Amino acid sequence: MMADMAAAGEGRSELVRTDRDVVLAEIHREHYPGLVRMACLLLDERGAGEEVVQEAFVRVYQSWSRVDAPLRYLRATVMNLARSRMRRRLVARRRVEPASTPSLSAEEHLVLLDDQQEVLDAMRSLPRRQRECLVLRYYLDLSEAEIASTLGISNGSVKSHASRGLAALAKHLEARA
Amino acid sequence: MKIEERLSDAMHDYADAIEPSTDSWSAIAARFDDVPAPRRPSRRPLVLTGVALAIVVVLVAGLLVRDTGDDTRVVTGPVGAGGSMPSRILAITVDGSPVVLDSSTGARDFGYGGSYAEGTQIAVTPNGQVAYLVAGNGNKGCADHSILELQIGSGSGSRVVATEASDPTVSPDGRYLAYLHCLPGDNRADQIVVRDLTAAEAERVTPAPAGTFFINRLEFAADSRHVLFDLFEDSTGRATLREADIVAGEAPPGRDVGVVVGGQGWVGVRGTTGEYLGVKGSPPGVLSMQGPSPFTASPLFTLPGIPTQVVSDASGRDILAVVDHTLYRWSEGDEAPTKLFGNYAGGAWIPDAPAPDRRTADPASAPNGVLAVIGGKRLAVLDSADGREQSPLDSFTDISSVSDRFDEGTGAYSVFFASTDRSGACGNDPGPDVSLMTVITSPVGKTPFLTLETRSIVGGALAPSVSPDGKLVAYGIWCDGRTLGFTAPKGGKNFRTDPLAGTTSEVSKQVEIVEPLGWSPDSTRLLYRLGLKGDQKPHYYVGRLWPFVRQAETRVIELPAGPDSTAAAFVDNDTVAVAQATGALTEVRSWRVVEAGDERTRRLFEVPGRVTSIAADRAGRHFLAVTSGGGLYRWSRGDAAPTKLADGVTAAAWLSGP
Repeated sequence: MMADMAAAGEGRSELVRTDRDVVLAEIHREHYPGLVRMACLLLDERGAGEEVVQEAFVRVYQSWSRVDAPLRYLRATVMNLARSRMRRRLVARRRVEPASTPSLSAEEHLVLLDDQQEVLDAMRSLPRRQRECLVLRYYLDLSEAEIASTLGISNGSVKSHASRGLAALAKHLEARA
Repeated sequence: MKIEERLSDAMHDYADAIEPSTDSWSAIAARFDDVPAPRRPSRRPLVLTGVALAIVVVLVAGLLVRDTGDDTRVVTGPVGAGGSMPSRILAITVDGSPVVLDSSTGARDFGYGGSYAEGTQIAVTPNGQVAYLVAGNGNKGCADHSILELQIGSGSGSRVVATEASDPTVSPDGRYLAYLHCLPGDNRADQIVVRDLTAAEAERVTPAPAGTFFINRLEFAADSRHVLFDLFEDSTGRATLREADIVAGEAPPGRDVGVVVGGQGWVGVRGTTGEYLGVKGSPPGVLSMQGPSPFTASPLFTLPGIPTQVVSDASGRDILAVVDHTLYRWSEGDEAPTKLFGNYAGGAWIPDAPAPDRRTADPASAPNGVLAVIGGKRLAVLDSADGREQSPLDSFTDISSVSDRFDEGTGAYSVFFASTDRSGACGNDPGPDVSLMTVITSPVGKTPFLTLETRSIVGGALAPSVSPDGKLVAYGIWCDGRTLGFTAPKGGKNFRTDPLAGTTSEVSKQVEIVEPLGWSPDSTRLLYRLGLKGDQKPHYYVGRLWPFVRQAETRVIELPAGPDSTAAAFVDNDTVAVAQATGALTEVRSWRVVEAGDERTRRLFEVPGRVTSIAADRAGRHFLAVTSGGGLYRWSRGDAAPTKLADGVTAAAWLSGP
């Protein structure tokens, strides 16, 4: 049947389209929650996290012919979109009002210990690359090579950013203690 | 609790409690409708405007220059100045499998199977025989990684040579292997280990720095004594490029080289030039940095994205870069890097085997004898020094060519040649007599104990040539379709292969005659000559053909030989010698097979008269040439001119074996 679809002039696009629908649906089923959580860690805002990940799926769909590893491409897209979102938000904050502490829901306050909230706040205050390396490494548990390829940097840079991030985090928390 | 654990716990407690909306897929899929469907070819009639027509003409011309359109043929990319680019690349696929690539085309020559390697750093010994890879898939740096030793091309698998280790590097002189090693309980790389590859057990470990810094990205400097490393100091949070005389036992932190490291800065050593490679700018440019500090930088080429790896060959003229899992190669003189097909995590050049001494060839190293066809009818073994006939073999009729093989395992010596049989397998075909292939074997390798095995090959057997590994004899089929034939001496199975496509596809109708000329020493390529209908010019090809490679891996390269090319022979696995008549002389030149279309060649020697066949020994140092007048000439590298060995010879090959 697939061959018939491909043979028919109109069927070719349908075949391509069906393939990517199936693959993306499968990735969505397995990885959507993890991607949203990763985005939330970077953005500290659940709604924004979902928006970013949904947008990333659409971008991957549009770029399907160039995508060789959909999940890796998706992760990289989420990272890029989260980065853009942060940049826009910083600009907006500068224009409107002084930076405010990101608001958490009551439920989130309940489940997070003060200590953990401090760690997360400190992590979010780190420079972008360090923050991204730490989230990919200590939340998604990616290998250094996977982080390097997701962020488009070398393995050595991943190690340096992660080490710097951890050192800065420790210093920050010590100062608060 | 360590800071890593606190961070991991906090992120998991926060993020794992988030339950994304369950109907998100429908929201996403609804937006797919806004995406335009993939383009289909236009069904409008093709009308070429002037500009479009010009573009088409240019494109077609380009195709003609690069290839004749057969999609099984190799289209070679540009090569660097001097044509020095190593012919192979060791790459690691995105799923962790090492593969050997043809650096000119990017085609895979060899795969090792398994998914165990990281592409992050690959070290290859200067003789191109051994590689050191990083294996493992964890995120604890060197703590959950190890270093594997891989014998390149042997397919014999790999072995672990160091655990809790990463970043292997081999000194340019091939003597030392250095790598980073984790301190116990730490997941960073804090020690440098140096191992003397020429002495078992000889290993030196730098003193542990007691948690004050860690080291990234280790690489040997050009002098094979110093190592360069990216040192990250805990106290300052700064990374600097350092250098230490590791052979003399100098320990990190070493000397500050004065080059920026990190995101944009030092990325490696530029071969043995003493220069460094760096990356800077947008789009990212690869720079060559000359020191000492303050360094001056010269731009080399730009890449489409930030590279995760940039590595040079020993000469510093050929550079590989990995951008978003794509390999790019660049050679000095190239305007832009060439993208190689495939998805790879990393790669490294495999140095070509050192060329034999080109100035002199030890006459004693020449094979003991020459296997010659005298007057087209008689086989004989001639003394390779003075051409005296030593061992007359036998008399046959119309021998077109001869090749032999000595099996070191069994001591059997075999001679392969074609004789004629007037009964003819061609039936009523009015063409020349049909060839019959005859095989002579001797269990002791000497002529007094010859046994004769005769086998008829359906369709004839022109110019038979036995592969050095003894598995196949190639010949040209004369009747029933002009094509290449192969027979397996063991088992007697026969195969037919289209010489233009390299596969068993339909026989090309334009082929008029097929003549195998010889095999590469590693038995993976066949050199042959084709006569094509309506074309006076002989065409020379080197093919990786079915049945000695798989159908999907067949490749046929046409050598850029001219109308006066009269003979050709393999010199080594990647080089052929081609004889070209120039008036009263024939000039023999060497050509790199991987550089089809490249006009750079090297002159070897000149022979008076018109050469009809040439042969090289297995080391590519000693050559034979037979002229149309029956002269047999010998030339060894270092000789000013060839020496005439005998007259009345119609074909010759160096004797294999003792």
